[in-house]
Amino acid sequence: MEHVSVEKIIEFVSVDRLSESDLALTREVNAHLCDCADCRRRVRAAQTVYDALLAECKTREAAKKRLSRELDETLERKI
Amino acid sequence: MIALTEEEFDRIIVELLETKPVKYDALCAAAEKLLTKPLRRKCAEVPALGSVCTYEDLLSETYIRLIKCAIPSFFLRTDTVNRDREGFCRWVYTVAANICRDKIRFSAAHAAVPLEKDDDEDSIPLQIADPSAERPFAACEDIETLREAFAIVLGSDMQIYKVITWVAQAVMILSEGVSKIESNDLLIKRYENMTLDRMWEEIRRASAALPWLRVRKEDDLRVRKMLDAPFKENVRYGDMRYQDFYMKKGAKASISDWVNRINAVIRRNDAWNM
Ligand SMILES: [Zn+2]
Repeated sequence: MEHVSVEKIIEFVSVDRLSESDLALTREVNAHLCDCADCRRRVRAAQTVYDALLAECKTREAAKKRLSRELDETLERKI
Repeated sequence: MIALTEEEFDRIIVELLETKPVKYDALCAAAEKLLTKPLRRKCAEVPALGSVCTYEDLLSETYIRLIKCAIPSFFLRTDTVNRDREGFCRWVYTVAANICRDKIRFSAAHAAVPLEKDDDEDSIPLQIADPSAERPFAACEDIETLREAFAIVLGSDMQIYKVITWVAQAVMILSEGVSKIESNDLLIKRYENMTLDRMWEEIRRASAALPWLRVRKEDDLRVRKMLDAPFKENVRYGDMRYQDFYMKKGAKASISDWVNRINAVIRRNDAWNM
């Protein structure tokens, strides 16, 4: 089973409106989360970090960038 | 508190977990049913909230949050589907209450004149009094403060089983999205028969899910040194089982007591309190 990519997880946890493309993304990720405990854990962890970063950063874009860096520094990308 | 019918709740589960593509209609309808009145009231009663957004804004934000979190943080937080209807309603209220709280904090942070103490934590929840629904590690806590709290705890002189308890609970809450109350039960279930050595290994492994949290090498060494210290003749702390440290008042009360003591240490360090 192919897991959700880090890039998609970052997009997913930072969704803050529901455009057509955001909806499509949440549907795709949620469908995978129904069957994958690993990705559910990764999403929960990324959401926690993103929320904390959002409180620190001025914009959503900045928070996303920092989240990407935080995840980059771990083994995340190897999953 | 308004509740959902069994049908409404079942439809949410079917749409989220059994329908492809996933549908959110029932989820959003439930949020609307549960939250419209309390959010309206909240906006009317709390100027710090009503002046920055409408209840519709709050409702939309709540929808998005629910869409992102309902599966990983509620329905499938464990491997079996959570069918606790009342728990779900409480969870939805909590999600909305946290969104209100963040809005109030944001408005307070950006107000030219200091607001009255209306943004006190206690005044924010939407009349929910369920402590288990509380989110103990607010998303607003910045990462540096969290890291600092971990460093303080890992560097403290408290007994090793207390330190390990605090770290285990924090990692559990942050990486698994459980509430503080739930985490007490989970801690007991997961660790009570383990030795402290094994428990520390497990916690280290679990903490890998928190990329921003690095247990520094020196902290790890320090913990291991404490685990190596003799508990009694020929027995190290690390060889003792977690439950061996419970006090007479029981597992839960012991754990709460230890966590409170550690939090007091953190507060003394003026960094953060849980
Ligand atoms: Zn996966």
